[in-house]
Amino acid sequence: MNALSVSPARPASPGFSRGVGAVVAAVGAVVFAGWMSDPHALDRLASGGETMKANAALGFFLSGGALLLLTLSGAWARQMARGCVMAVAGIALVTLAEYATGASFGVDEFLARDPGAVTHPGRMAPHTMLGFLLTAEALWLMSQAPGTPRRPLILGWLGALGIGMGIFALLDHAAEFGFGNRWWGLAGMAIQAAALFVGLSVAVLHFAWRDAGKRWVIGSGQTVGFASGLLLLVAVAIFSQRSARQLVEAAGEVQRTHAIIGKIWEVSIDLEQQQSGVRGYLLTGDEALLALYRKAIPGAREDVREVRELLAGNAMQLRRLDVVERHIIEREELWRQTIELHRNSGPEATAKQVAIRQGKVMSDELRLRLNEMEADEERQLAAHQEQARATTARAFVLLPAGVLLSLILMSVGVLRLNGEATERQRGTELLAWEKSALELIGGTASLHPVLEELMVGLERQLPGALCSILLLDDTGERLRHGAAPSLPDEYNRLIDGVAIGPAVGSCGSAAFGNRQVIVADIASDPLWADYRDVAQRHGLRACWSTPIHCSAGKVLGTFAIYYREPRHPTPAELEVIVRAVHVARIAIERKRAEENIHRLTGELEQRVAARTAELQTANAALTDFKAALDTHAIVAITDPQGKITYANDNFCAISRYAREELLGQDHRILNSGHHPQSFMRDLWETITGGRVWQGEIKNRAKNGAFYWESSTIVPFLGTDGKPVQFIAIRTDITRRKMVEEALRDSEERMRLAAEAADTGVWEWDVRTDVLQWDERMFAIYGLPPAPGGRAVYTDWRAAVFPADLADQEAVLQNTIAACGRSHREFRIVRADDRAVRVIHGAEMVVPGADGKAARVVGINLDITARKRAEEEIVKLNEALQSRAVELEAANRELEGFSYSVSHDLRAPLRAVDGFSRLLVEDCGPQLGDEGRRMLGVIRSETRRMGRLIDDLLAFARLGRQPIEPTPIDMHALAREVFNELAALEPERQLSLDLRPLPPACGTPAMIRQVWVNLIGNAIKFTSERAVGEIGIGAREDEEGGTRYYVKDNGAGFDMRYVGKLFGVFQRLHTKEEFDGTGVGLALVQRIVQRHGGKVAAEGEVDRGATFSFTMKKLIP
Amino acid sequence: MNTPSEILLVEDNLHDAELAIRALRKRNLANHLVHVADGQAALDFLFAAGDYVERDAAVQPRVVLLDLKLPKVDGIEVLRRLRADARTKVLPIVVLTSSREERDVIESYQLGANSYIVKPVEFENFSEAVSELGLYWLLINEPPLRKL
Repeated sequence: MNALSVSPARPASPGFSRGVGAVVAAVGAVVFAGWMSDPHALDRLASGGETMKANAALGFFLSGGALLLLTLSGAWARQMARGCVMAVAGIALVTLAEYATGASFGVDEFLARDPGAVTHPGRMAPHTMLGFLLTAEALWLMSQAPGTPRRPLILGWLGALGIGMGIFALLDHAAEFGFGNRWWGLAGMAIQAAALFVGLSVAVLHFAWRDAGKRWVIGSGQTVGFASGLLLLVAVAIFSQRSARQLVEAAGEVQRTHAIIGKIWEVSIDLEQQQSGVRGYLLTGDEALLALYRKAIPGAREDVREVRELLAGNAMQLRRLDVVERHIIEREELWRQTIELHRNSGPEATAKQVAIRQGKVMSDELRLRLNEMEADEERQLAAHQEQARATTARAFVLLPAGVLLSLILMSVGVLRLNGEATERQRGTELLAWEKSALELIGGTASLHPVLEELMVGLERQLPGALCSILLLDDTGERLRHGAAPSLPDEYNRLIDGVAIGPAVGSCGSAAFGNRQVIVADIASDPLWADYRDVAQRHGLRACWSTPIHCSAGKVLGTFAIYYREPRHPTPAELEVIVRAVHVARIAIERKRAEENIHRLTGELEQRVAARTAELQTANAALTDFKAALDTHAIVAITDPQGKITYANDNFCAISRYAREELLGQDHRILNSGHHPQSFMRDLWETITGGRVWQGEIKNRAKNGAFYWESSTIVPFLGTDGKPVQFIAIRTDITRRKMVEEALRDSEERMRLAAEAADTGVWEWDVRTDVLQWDERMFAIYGLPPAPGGRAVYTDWRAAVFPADLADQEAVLQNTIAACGRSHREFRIVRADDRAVRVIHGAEMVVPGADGKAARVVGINLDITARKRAEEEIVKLNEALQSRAVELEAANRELEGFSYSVSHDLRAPLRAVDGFSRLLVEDCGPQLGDEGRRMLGVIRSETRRMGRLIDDLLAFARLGRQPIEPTPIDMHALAREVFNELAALEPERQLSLDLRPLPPACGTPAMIRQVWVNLIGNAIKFTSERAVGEIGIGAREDEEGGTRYYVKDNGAGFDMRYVGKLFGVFQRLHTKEEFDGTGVGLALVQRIVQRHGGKVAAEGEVDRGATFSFTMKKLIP
Repeated sequence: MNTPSEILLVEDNLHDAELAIRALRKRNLANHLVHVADGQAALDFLFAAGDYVERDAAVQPRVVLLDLKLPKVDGIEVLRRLRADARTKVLPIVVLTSSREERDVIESYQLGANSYIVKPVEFENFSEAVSELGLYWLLINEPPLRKL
């Protein structure tokens, strides 16, 4: 039991349930009491046949009691109610089991004997049983705690089913439909039971309605209406089928009755004929008459048999017919005796017989019976006719009425269902609107556009509505324009800023009173007294305004719907308003919060900026100071462990380390090894002890160079007195130190130098005559090193070439004598491999205090390789010189050649051309056209040849012309060349795109030729273009020079042949396409190459070409 | 040789000479033209030596059209000798040659040539050049020497 179920389930208004429960329980009790006392009385009471059985009565008593108990508070009442419900369910379930199995469990007549039942005496009808099951289920649910899932819905359907069943049974009773109540010949539901079920079901429905918050729970009454209409229609259909069958049956009965009456008549006639026949014979003795009689006998018997057949089922009439038949047989016997008497005894005996009139009595009796039968049939006929008439009349009334009613119900149902669909549609649209509204609110748009958009969306849902939102300003006294996309601007302007008050239109009043203000007709509403004219001027007739609250309940503004006609809101519209206000609230709160955040962010940014500026100022001052320090000194900062955390540029420069290489290292990286460990320990102890250390330190840079610094290391102490960092400020004193060191270490350095230069050093102490060689000396002479470097002079003498020895010794003697210096070159034979080496020797005499030679210090250097190289060079030089001479000769030859070409080749051409011309002039007429044409060909080819020669000569000349580098303004030159060339072809459309060209250095005439050829080509090869587009520009070359280019949109060329472009006489076009000799580009290449540049070309057939060349940059 | 010659054409190539003469003739300038085929002949003519020993050396042509590439004595040498001699020092000499060689051009001018014309290969140009030349030197130009 959870907390919820502590308070028992009780309808909010128990009065109705209590009343119904009491009535049902009372009726049940009365009927049950009836069963206990006199069952027959009840039978009489319900003459139609259906009686409420004792079990059913008990069930109703218990159900009503349960309903009553449920209205009472207290757990006991609920427990008792549940007990009742279980009992009801038990009775119903046992009955169900009996019906299902066909067996009888003895509960039917357990309480009272049923005298009048048909099939199962005392057993309640199946639908009664069903009704009890439904009721039990409903009551059980009602006893549950409120909030049981889907309870209202289930209860609703249970109630609806119960009512349906009850009404069905009631209708059956009322209209004697004769269907639906008695199933398969079983007992039907008693009319009282039906009424009680209806009552109970209504109570259940009422409970469900309250339970669901006073709402229709099974979707709607409309569904029920439609369903019941359909049900009614089905009932009417069944009823009409029944009526028709009844009519047919009645008609059959009438017909049969008519047939019976007819037959009875025939029987009467037969009997009369028999009588007539007999009488006639008896009176006349005519045998013919007797035959007539005899003949009528079987007819009468036959007719009687037919009447009997027709009367099957009518016991009374059959009894009468039996009497008639008996009489007929008796009469026949009488007549047989009489006829026999007549034959035997004669007519007198017969007359006597006749006289006693026995026969007549019998006949009369017979006639009377037949008449009775006939009368009875006549009565029945009348009854059948009456029944048919009544059925017809009933059908006549009930059918149209039923159909009409069901149609009405269904139509209402359909219409309302339609309405529901519209409602649902509207609900869906509203949901969609809400969804899009929330998306919009979630977006970046600001409040007013969002509200506008919301109003537009809402107006789409409410045809004819003009929606507006007014926002309460910060003072809370005035309404400002929020959004009103469809209201006239002028109206919006007038309303904007209106002060709220108790009677200020709908919105002002709504905001003021914090309540919804529905003004259905502005024209008549007193709230609009001051604004009526304005509103009417704009055709506004209704205005429903609802305040928008914030989460805390404060009014944010109002949401209003205007209409151009007076009207009240429908419930659906009120629903829309509720949701619209909700959405508007979210929008306003959200957007205002965003604005707030935006504003706060802005302020924060400003403050950050201000603070940053302050810091920057302070920083700038520090930076200046630091810059000054950095400029002067080598600065390093280390952490307490000695790791470098800062190194200025000077530090990096002097140490040759990149900053990142220094950071994180300690100063051991710079250790030169010069200082003893104690020195460094002292330094470290000083500074870690918090004292300043000053001194000179020798360090080693990354490249191995040593440098000296005068260093001041300042420890910075933390609050605990321990250093947090050290700052070292140092000055480069390398130069001073170098001088010092140089002086001190000169000998050592010389030794090192000698070693490094592969130079052997010897020293001869003149006084002690001790000759000292270093290791290199021994190596040079191919001798094993002697211990202590002690060498023997004779070893040296032995090694020297005998031819050179005398000279060498003489030089040495002179040097010693003069206390001077000397240089010598001599040959030796190396001791170990007997190789001849050339040695360079140099020595210096160190004088003693007496001014005489004390020591001689000398070096020996094996210069064999150098000597050989020198000889090689000499040889090469000689070869080169002879080559130069050859070249000179070749050049001269070439010059001669070109000179003769220029003269000798040209002259014949001129003659050919000239005389061809003369031929035309002098003998033109005789030559004829063809002759003249051919001469024309000769002449044009001649001229071409002339140009070829010229170009070739120019090309050849180029090789000889010296390069005279001169600064050239390439830009001006290119422009000038273009202008000149363009002027030669005034008919051409040429466009030049000349980009700035950097100056170059070269021989002006040659470079000019380059431009002429390249631009000339560009003009030439664009001759088939409407506009020849020529681009000239320059860009940085990969190799540091400048690449100048000339670009055109002309015929271009196939990149496959790019290699041929620059060859002499190489042409990619025929001379018919483009005139030319094929020398131009070769010339360009030659010139450029001679200037140390390169040429390049790229192009595509019909897409133009770009020719470029590189020149070294002009270095001013 | 009674008629003083006005043009001395020094040209070893007879075809060129013919073309030149024809061009001049067209302008009626070739009436007093003397054509020699080598440098020696030119010198002989101007200095009235050799074959021209009977000529009056005081009478000089108004212009000498001198080819550079000549048999025996070449044009440059002829020019040098003419300029070296007082009688022909100021004689208008037009170098008319096939050579475009810069060396030739410079040397010719340095030796005192009055003009340097490269013979065009095309006949029209050649003929025009020659006739213009004749026109200029015979009619327009005022000769340095007294006319006879």
